[in-house]
Amino acid sequence: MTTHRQKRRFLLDFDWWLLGGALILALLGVVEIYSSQPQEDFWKRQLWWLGVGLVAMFVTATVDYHRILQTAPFIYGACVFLLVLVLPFGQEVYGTKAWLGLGRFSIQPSEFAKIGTILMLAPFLAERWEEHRKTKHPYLTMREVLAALGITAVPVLLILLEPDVGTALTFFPIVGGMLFVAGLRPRLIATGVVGVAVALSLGWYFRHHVLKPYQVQRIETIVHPERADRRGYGYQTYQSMIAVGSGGLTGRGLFRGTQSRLRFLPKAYTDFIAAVVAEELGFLGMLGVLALYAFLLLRALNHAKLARDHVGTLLVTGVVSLLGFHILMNLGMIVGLVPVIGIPLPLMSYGGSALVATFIGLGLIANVRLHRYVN
Amino acid sequence: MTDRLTLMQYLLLVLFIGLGVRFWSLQVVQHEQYLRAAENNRIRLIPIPAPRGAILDRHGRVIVDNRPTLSIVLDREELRARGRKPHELVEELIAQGLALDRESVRRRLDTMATQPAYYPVVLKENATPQDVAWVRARQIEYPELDIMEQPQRRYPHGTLLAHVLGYVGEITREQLARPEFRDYRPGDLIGRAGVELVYDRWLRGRDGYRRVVVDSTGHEVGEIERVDPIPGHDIKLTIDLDLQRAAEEQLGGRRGAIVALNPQNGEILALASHPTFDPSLFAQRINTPEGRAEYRALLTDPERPLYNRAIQGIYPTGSTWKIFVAAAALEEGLITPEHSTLPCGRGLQVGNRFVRCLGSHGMPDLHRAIVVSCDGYFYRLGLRLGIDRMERWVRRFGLGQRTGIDLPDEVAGFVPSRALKAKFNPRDPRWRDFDTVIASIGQGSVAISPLQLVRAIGGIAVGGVFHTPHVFKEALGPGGTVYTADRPLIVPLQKRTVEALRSAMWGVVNEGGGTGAAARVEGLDVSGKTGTAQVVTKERAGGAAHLRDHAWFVSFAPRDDPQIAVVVLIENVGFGGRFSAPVARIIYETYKEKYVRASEVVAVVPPASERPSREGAPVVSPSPVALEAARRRSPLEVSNRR
Repeated sequence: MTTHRQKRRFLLDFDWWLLGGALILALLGVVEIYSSQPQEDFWKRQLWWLGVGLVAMFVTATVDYHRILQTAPFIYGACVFLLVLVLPFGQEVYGTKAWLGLGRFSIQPSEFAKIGTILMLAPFLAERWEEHRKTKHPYLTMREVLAALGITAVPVLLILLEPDVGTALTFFPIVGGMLFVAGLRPRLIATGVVGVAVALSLGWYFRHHVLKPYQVQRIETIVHPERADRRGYGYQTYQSMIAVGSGGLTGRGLFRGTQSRLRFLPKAYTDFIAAVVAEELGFLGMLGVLALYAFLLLRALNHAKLARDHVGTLLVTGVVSLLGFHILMNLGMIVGLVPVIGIPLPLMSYGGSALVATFIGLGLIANVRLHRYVN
Repeated sequence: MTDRLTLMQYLLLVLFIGLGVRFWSLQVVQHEQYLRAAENNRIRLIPIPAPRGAILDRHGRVIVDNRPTLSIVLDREELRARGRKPHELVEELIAQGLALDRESVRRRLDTMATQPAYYPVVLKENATPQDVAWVRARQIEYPELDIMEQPQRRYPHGTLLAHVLGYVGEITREQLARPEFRDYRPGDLIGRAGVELVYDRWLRGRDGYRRVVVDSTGHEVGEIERVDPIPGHDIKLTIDLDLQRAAEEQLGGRRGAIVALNPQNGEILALASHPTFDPSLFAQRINTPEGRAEYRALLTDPERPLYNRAIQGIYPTGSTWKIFVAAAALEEGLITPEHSTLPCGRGLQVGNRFVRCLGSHGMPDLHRAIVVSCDGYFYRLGLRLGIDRMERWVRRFGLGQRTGIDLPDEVAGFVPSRALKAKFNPRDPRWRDFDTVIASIGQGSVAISPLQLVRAIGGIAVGGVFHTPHVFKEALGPGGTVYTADRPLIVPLQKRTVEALRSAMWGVVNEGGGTGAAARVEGLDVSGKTGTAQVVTKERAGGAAHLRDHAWFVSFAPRDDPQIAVVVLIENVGFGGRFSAPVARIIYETYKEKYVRASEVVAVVPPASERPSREGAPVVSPSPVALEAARRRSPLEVSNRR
């Protein structure tokens, strides 16, 4: 029952700063989508999805997150079901079957699976933590870590079948961040870091066996930009860097970026939207964007610290890991520090499912803050 | 837990600061360099010309197709970015040793001035390997030059069938201004004559293009968009290459025309007009000084090689006209096959003039009069028929009007009439008997094309259905089509009229004294009529070569089931029976070899009723082999005829 008092508390206590920051970024995204594809109606669709996202955020923020978590297995199960459904019935775009058609619109189940996985992992890890807190070494056991990895592995494997390697990759920072906060043994962290390093170098050594030729080329572009084939797979990275660099301190002006408007920059409205911002609004504009993202993430982690219980903390941690990884990888790709792996920029890249999923994640963060006091 | 969250916050902060530093480095420190790179990014539109459809003969053999050639093209956007003028550049390129044709380049630059700068201008087609090497070696100095592949018309048979094929050329400015050429752009090739013109929309296809990004040196750095060309439809003609080749070989260096068609459906099997021209001139050499000289020579040649004598040339028909007079007289009931004798009289006194017949034929009947081509008989028959009925009948047979052939610029010609004389002879506008007499042997104001003549004779031979002659059989491939424009004139003729005329024309070729004996082909029953058309009166001609008579032979075969009709016209050589009939024989022999199997040899014995009744002309005895073949086919038919 929503009483008058509860309404009042919601209005006072809701994290309007979080919403405001996200809204500015999302609206800037709409403007730049229009700028790069003025003749298409992508920006209108994005605006429509933004509306859906805002509603979703308010809904997820209001209902006590404990009640949401009670349905976590169902949500997780539904996400897995959709991921299975997409394999035979999905629409294929650029060789990847990631979309489910729904009348005029299509949804990307893998975006929602990220939230579903967070919802599943948070209570599991929080309960384990409760069990261990009284012991001398309050750390997760190996078996528990493997169980958490198992929960993540189900959607990851299904997404790899689409195949969408970039999206599958984004699940590891989620589980990694949550395990880290939930109490990963320091020795295990060290082992993990070393293990990943060894795996990466081994993978690189055997890159021609493990990866597809284009994947190797994309990585080599980053390692040796001067040797990159600018006509081939180095093309996107090079054009993106030109877009960013030509923006200068103050940018070439809104709607005046030649790189995006003349379509030198491929897919400017999705993965490379930040390059359009950098080109048109310059270093100062980009500084603002970076500051807003940093503000959102750091503020969310503050909420995590203040959370009523560990489930709340872990929920926020999961969402922040998810968003942080996307933002850092995407911007790294824009400036030529990270290979092109097809990870969109949260809030700004064109894509309805990702936008709605992001706002649901933000809703969870606001929820944890809203319910930080024990009644 | 809180410690670790704080740790995460610091980690994020450090990474964001790192990104900020990277943005600073790209956008502020290296800004100049990237701005230059952005300005050097250029879009180029590279057209992919659609290959024009091939033209095939009725058996699918290639008559015209395409060969790949390279062209040197100019990107005007790049040129403008470098602050240079196209005309200046062209002068410089010529001075630097690139062989360009100044005149055509200028014209192109002018016509393309109305088009967006990203459309390239072709500076030179048919670029030689040296030209290509020249451009490639100077890519740095002249980044605005490019090499483009362009399909070009190829004529494996040289000048063969040139008048039917026509030729292609660049679309003119006048055409572009007209609404029906809306979807063409300057520089596009378009059919300018013949089949290439009439069926241009089927042949041309749709060009594709690639939109690519190039850097400041003209190097392609990426493809933004690609639209593949849609090739044009291949077109199958009704022409048979072997008959066509035979026809053109027979004309050789003489002026004249030959048309062979199937009177059952109007399909043209061969259409030749000499002298001829080389269509590859227009496709390959027109933009060179030599090519232009060649074209000027064609235009000023007094023998007019570009002109298609078969459909644009109009001539008096001479005695071939007698068939129409005879058909009209039979249909009007003035004579019957049984009662048709008239005197020859070595000619006829008309008013104060005596019009001569070339021989002395006594009292021939219609059959004999046609076989020996007796003028005296037809003077008298023509007077009985009268000019008005003659005019009405020949018009029904499609004479003096366009046949509707699917080739451009067909000429209607004239048939004699009171109105025509009044119009062209104001000093003596009244129609006189003398005019009727002259008209009844195809002289005077008769002027029709060889195509009209062969269509009319073929139409009578099949019983009075005059199909629209055509060369188009079908457009191949998905969405293709077949010929559907046949609008036959139908003049139901009495069976006995058709029989009498077929038999008489058979006699012309196969009976003693027949004027067309030189066209006889063993076992095919060629039937025809010779004609010798006076250019001027005998007295005025005086033997001058260009005033000699035109030689006609119009014919069909086989007699009882006509499958092919052939007209041969040779200008200024003399008697039709002597010059044109032998040419027709070669064509029939080629036809027979190809289309008639031994078992299909038909109609060897002339029906008794059609025999000359009084003149006692020698009967040609059928060869035993042919007779045997006919018997095997239908013993009943043979015995009935006897």
